[in-house]
Amino acid sequence: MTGEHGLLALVLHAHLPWVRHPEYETFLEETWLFEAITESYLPLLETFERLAADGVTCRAAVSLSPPLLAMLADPLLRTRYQRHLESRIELADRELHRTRGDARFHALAARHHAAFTAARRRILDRRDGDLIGAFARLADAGVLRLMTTAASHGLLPLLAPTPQAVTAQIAIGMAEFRRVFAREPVGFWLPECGYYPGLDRPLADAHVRFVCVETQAVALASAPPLYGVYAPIYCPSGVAAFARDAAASAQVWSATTGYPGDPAYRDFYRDIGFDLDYAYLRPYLPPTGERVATGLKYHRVTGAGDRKEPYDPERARATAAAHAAHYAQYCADELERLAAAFDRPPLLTLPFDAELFGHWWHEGPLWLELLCRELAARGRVRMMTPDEYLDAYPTNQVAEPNPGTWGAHGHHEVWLTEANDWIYRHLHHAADRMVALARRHPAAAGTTRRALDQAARELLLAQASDWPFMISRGTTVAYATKRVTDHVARFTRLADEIERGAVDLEWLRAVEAADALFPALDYRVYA
Amino acid sequence: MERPLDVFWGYALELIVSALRGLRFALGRLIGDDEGDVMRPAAASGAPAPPRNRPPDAQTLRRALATVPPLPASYGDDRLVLVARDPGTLFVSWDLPAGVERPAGAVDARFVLRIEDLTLLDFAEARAWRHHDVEVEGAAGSQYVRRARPEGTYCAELGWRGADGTFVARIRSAVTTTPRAEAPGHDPTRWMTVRVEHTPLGHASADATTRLSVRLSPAPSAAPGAAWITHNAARRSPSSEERHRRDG
Repeated sequence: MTGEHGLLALVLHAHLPWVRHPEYETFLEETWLFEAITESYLPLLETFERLAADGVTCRAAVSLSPPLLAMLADPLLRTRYQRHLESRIELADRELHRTRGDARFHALAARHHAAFTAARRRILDRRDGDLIGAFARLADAGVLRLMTTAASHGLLPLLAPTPQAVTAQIAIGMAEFRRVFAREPVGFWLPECGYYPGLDRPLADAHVRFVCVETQAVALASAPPLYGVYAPIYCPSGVAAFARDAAASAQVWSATTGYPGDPAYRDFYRDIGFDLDYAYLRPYLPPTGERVATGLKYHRVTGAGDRKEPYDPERARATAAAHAAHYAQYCADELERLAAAFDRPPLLTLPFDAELFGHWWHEGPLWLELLCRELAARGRVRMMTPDEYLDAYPTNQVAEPNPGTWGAHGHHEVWLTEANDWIYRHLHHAADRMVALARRHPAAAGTTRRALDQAARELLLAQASDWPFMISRGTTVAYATKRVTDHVARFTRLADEIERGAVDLEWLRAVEAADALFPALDYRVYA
Repeated sequence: MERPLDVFWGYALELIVSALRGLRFALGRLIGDDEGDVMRPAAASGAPAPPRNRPPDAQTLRRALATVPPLPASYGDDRLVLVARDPGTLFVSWDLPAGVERPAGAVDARFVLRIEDLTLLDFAEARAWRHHDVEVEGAAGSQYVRRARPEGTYCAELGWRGADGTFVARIRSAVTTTPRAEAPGHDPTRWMTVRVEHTPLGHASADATTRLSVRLSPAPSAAPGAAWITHNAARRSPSSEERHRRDG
């Protein structure tokens, strides 16, 4: 294309830990899923659907984690999500009455009411309410390229002391994607972008074509990267590693130095759940009665202090448009500078958590849509997914990426610190025990087979990187601690019963019902 | 606009599916359906996962899952794990059988964690050129050792150190290398061409339908050279500000 300076690879990683609690009628942490659907997944789908309908050339790679896919498909959670929406619509309806004397807040309440109602309409629609199907249709339309990730989002470098634990996370993540989408994933999202030397070998064995890594993984690779971080490198096995562009991505995700902290955008923390009369709110709070965010937010970031001004959607929209234009210009300028030294178009790789767009940054989906339109209109930067890049440029430099993650300081500090390091003793012991069980039972059948498969599920769920992250960040520490403890304890009981040859079938049924994901799992992946 | 008919048919469909599942459950009981097959993976046949039996109700589940024994402080499984957490920090955790005996005659011996620095050595054969000892207690425990250096190679040992300095290792970890912190390594520049080969095996298979074809290649005709790296690497290496990364 004439005047084209370079390429931009947008990679969105959609993941939530498995938060399904059939043992309770309502469970607070299930709202993580409900909020993510309403605020991120639906708006992102609709963004890409609009772009496709308008014929805007747009490409993005999207990874969908197996726990998220399992929750999106789960009948119980779908029913509960509908119930959640009904509750929010009722609250928004009451807010319309409460705010009828104040035009500004009344209009904001109306926006919330409309958003919840639209979400309910879509989720009840036989075709569009199937969110997994909607992602697949966008992939069929050539807008999205779908990726998978580790089975339960385990941070692979910290599971590496038991190699089979890593192999199983990869193999089950790949198999789950194929089972759900009946196609190959185009790439594999490394949880937390965590890489260690040699990880490429089990990835290659699982036929993974590319992964995303942190900036320093390529910038500080085993050989000087001749294209810097503006082209992938091949790991020794042939798996491609695309490095995040640190500066360009911080502009998008950082609340302190990036766009989301702009005073015009909607404030994430200010919520009527913390502001309004308790008795008025009580029907919309959890059974325990604690004040929580309801999703109805009327204020903008305003500034660093506690004083918040009312949210002005038109001003926020104008700001998003300005930020989209700024970003398109920034990318074009950066790529133009690089292109002068390159024999091929330089590539900016921009991986983000999908939940950043909409949930954490309310205007994120709008910004993304406006950015795609800007890029398409200007024609200087072409969106291209990593697999499309590899099709176009199959020859790349070979080097071993530097180990690390995309967490603070680029290493493992977030997931391995004094607050959460107790987890790993249990994970390593359980993984070794799972390997031993799998080898001791090469062809289990009946109840023993079920118990072995469920033991593997419990191990996987205990390995999720979300739990040490929450503990390290000091958010929902009790819940994260309980989840690790519960899954390790369930694994241990199953392992004990398998070894004794006395599986408690009633209890096994209960655990299967609670932790009902990875239906195609075969425990022999650990052998 | 709301669509009450959709709501109605949605609920109706759920009721029908629920009734069919109940019927299957009852028939399965009558004809001796092996419950072991209920959870069989679907991958082998390429079909979607079969429905499960009617799940236990919330109260039954809550009762079954309520009792969670505390996790043990130790498994006693003779393990010493060494992890390079960051360029300057090693994390060591150990779990040994209770009552680890000190060597005969080593009455004054101390139980120590020894970090062996194997950087640039053939660690399989050579002795470490330096080490760092930390006195530790307990058959199970963990320790951060903040004396590593970037791109250093280490292993850990737990054992007894006598008053005369002799060290008897009880257990040794695997070897680990810390990440680089400042500059890339010095491996030679090599190139590779990778292409995807498709091997269609049918839908919904758990098996891969693609393979990677890998071969070493000559350099692209005009790849940027060392001069570009020298000029640009410093600019693009992550600065301290850039390291202010995603943390939430």
